[in-house]
Amino acid sequence: MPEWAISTQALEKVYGGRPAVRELNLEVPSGSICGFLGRNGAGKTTTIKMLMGMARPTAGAVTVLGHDAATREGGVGIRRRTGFVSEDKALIPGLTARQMIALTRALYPSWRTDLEQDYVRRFRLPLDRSVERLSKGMRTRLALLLALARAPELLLLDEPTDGLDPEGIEQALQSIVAAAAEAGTTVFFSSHRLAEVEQIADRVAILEDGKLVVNDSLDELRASYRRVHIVFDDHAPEQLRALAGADMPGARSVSVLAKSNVDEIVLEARRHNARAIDITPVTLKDVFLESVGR
Amino acid sequence: MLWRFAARQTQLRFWLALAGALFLAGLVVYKYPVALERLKLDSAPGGAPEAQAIYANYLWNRWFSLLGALWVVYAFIMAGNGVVPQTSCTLTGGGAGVLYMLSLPVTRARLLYTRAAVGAAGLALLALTGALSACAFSPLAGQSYPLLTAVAHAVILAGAGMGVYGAFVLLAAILNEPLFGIVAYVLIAITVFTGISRTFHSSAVFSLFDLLRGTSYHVDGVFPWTGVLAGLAAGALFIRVAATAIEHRDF
Amino acid sequence: MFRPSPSSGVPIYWQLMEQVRHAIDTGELRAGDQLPGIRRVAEDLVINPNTVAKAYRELEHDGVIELRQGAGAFVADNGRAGAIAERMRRARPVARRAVEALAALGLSEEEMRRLFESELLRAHAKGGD
Repeated sequence: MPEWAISTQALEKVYGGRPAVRELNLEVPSGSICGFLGRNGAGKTTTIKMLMGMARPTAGAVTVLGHDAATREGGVGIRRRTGFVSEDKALIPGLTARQMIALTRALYPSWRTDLEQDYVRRFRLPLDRSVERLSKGMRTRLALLLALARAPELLLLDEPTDGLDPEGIEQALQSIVAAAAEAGTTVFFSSHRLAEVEQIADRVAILEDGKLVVNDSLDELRASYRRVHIVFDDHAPEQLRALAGADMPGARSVSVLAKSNVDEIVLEARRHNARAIDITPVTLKDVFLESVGR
Repeated sequence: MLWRFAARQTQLRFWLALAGALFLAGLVVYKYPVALERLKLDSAPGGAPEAQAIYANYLWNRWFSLLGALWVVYAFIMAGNGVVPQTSCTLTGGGAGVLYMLSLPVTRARLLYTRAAVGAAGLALLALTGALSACAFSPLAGQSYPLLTAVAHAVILAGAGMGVYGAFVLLAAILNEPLFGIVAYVLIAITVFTGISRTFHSSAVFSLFDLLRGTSYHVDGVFPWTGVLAGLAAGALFIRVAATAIEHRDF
Repeated sequence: MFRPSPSSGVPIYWQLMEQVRHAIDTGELRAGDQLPGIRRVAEDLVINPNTVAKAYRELEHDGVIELRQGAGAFVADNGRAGAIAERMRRARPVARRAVEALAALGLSEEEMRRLFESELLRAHAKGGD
């Protein structure tokens, strides 16, 4: 197994003159669970489609599971070994859940009937209902089942918990973690729920306006960021207010998101006779909002 | 196994089209006595051969023309259900499914060829069923229609019609909705209505619709080999071009 | 035994390590006891298996647990678990005195907790760990 399940170099996609993804250098190590964050329209779906070989890159290189995703043969190789859930949880209209499973099963030699039946039971899928009459939650579950039962080496999931109720979210996350724990499946999933990314991911990639702004392990991120809250007797000095990014002249306190410059900030605060200095750990939400420029 | 996706997905429409063809064939044959009366002939004049010629003429004019039009519309629906599902033709609604098809471990070209082949098979069956049902129902009107002639009509319709079907597949592969719908409707109108106007004005202009309903075969007894082969060749060529075009399309 | 809270900002592997140490301190885990397997912990808690593996590796590195090939993870038998308990026992009066002193200054429980956490984090940042 190659060291990187996903590796892109200067990947670019332009749709009708508008760049959707720019200079993307993304690396996801084999066996990791990577959360893919970004605002709506940041280019997450386009990136995932390129990784699947379903959208042709305008420029740059993209290697997934050792295949070149920009070639036809490479794309077929990737799709054979990857479980995919699209953003709209697209299934084939006119088919029942049972037919979707039977027809998909025939296309994947690695299909595991035991997993399939396990998930049918666990998700309580109404097998004989046609897919357009399934609720969004059931469609998502069915899409997940189809992705997981082929025992994939890689899961590319575009918002796999979108539209699910809390029980459904837990089931979805459980199934993703089980695939990673039992088969060492690499997972790359986009999400807007930072809490679930913090829960199951060990890596985080953040996309902003088509560019990657963070691509790091979650523990690294947590270790390197700190929130420093400083209170002054009088109003806060200008340098620190500038660091905080929010300029509220006259405010008596500032809150700075520090990255490896905690000591510097604390010294600066002491120099200005700070009354109280509080250092607290950050959450992924802090890092995300900071990275996408608020 | 890929073909089963397309077959499952279109089976409802296929059975509906087949049932429609059977029903209409029965209706056309059943109405024959009424048509005869309207011609103010209470019984076929002259001998048996002449009576049979009148019936054959009636069937061609009513049934094979109608079957041709039905077939062209069904070709449009099947083409709209290619790799790029066009919602204007999917009776089940929702043009979704394209992303799922594209995520399968096959090339887009194979996806298109498979679906085009399933469509073509359905169309061939429709032509054959339509033509043969006319034979089968004829005794109900106290008439008969030669089996071989019916099969020849089916071969002409399906063979020459492949050109039309291929053109629809190519359009569906390169055009987005609603453009595909508009262009396809215009094509249907041109194909069918030039044929109908031809029946009234009998101009010398080549009519695709006349080719499809086997005008030369019925009138002069000449099997239109050139037309059938040209239709098959054009259909294959159009689908080949569509497979190339679909590789370069963004979804 | 494990109750990680993913959104606290503290790395989950670190929380798991603390919880194992705590269980040893309270006697919930004793030398030779087997810890649940990585897969089971990951699936039960719905957290990343790599995170559980990392916590176990670090605990082994610290001598708190032993990873036996194919058998699983066990609380170390080499007396370190006892040593930790002993260290904690001796430290307890120090912490008690500090809390009493802070209470005398009028600090609430919540304020004390924040103060301790802030000091720990500063020590952590300085240590460059």
